[in-house]
Amino acid sequence: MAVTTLKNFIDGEWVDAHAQEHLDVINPARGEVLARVPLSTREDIDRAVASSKRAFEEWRNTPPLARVRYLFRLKELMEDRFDELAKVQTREHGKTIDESRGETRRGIEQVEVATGIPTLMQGYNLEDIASGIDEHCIYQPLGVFCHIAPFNFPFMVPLWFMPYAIATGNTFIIKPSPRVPLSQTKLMELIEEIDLPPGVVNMVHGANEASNALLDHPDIEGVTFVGSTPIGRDVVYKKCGETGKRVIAQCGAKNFIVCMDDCDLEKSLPGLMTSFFGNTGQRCLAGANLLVVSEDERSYKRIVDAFIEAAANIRVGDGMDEAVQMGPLQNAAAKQRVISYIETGIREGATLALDGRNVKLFGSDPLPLDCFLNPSVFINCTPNMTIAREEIFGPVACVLRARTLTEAIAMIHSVPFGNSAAIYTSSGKAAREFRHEVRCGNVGINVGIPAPMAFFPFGGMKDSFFGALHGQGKDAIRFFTECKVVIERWF
Amino acid sequence: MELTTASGIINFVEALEDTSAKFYESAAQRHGPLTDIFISFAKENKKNVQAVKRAYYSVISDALEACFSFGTLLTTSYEINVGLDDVVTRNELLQRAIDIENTIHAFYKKGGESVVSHIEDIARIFKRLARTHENRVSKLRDLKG
Repeated sequence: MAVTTLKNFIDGEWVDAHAQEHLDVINPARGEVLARVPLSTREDIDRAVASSKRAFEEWRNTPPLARVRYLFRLKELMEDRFDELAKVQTREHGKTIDESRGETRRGIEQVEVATGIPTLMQGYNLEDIASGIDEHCIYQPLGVFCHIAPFNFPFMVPLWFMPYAIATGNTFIIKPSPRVPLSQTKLMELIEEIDLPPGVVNMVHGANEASNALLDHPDIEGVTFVGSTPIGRDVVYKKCGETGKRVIAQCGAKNFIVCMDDCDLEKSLPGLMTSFFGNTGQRCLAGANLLVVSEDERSYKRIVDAFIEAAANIRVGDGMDEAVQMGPLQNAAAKQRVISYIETGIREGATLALDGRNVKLFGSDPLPLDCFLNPSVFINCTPNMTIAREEIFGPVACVLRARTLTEAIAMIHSVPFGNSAAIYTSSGKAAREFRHEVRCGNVGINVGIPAPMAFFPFGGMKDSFFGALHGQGKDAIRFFTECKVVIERWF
Repeated sequence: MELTTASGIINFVEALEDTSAKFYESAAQRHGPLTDIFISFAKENKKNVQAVKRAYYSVISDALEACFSFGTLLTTSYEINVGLDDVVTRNELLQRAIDIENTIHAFYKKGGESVVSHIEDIARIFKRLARTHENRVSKLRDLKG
């Protein structure tokens, strides 16, 4: 069967990119080519930006209530096509169908929250700031915004931004990751169905050239980015500073999960497994370092043994199989990268207690092993080891030990990242101390993936975040609007 | 087969309730006086599936433990015999229904207890459906006399 070459969605139409280069979109579980994605050029970006700029004037003058009615329709279509949307994610990314459904639900939640814009976008005022004079603060949209998307949540992450941007009256361009462009293509099909005015949302496929063109473009007011720290900090944040753009750059992580020896281990294990091995470890909120706090050797061993046993029993396979608990890495290069970290860990003296390189797949269907790894667990790790400091972005857990919570928090602060941290404990005092002291943007207490809901901002500190305002919630409303103050007197 | 993921369990619930619904639809045609109750059971089976699916699709989240939702459940422990070929008398029919309901009740009860994740909504609905099927057993026993 012929492989489809994807098109860009610009000005309400599906158009061919001016691309000379294309990449294959591959199902990592089965190795099949799903589509060809064009690597769009500056010319394609110029076309999309011109369309978004044209659309802005009329769109900003469309009343908020009318704007969100499009989102209500979008939400309805997303619910109708829920499983279709989830299956696309599993096919192109490899995550399990439960994970894709979870991602779909959280994407829909963003749209739901953005439908509240007529309330959320309201400004404030005060009568009689001086006799007979009133003052108002009103929030207005700015223009064209864009999103440069990561590969790990192909459906949800662009929705952290797009619904808020357009509901507040801006126009928006999405550049999906070229590795996983099908989920956003599906979303654009829904956008087409709701008859959003042409140019309000555009999508351009591509890689570096397209990203750079967006960052350089003088008609783009702001950039939202989710990806690695080196790109987020040294390219996106820097370029936005140079060109005077607003920016949200949500970047890398090395998240610690603290396990106090008083935790309810049985109830904690599903959360720990999800945190370390959910999405095959490819998430910025994933647990990476399991930090066991115990002075007692037996308690330490009890936690670590249970963790390793649970990890060893995870069923790895094609995410479309509903019995599977962990899918493949998204691509073969990612697998090799994880393997090289495992080799580094061994070289630096950590003990590989569970070796996920010995791939064992669930199910009788023979699958290519190019992207698969089973969970790996290192024990006897120290905070200075590469595997305990750098983001591996794969199913590898590093176990460290601290004698006290204070020592544990100091270890967490020794890494440059501050995306998330979690504690498993039965002690309210320990939890409270952890919550108060830890310098991370998203904190979990007996929750392994502290992913903020759509109506809260998605936190992030230190090298995990660059910008001032965060995505989602009230921060997103402020990011996509400018406050205008009016002082009013009538004679 | 062992079930641990939320989606695996949801599929099994659907199969269990659908199979049971088909049994009641066929059984309703066999014994006139039991038609109404069996048809009502079949309708309720379909509602049960919807209730479980609604709970699942509304709470499923990338951040919760969908893939590690349940302590292991073995489907082989909850297979139901819905054959009617060997059923002749009214009491045999009622006994077959009681056996089915006991099995489904046991599944929901064990499932509700086995939810080890944060997806409490699913545990709650499983407990409610366990009661529903337990009540059916009482009704069927009363009819059997």
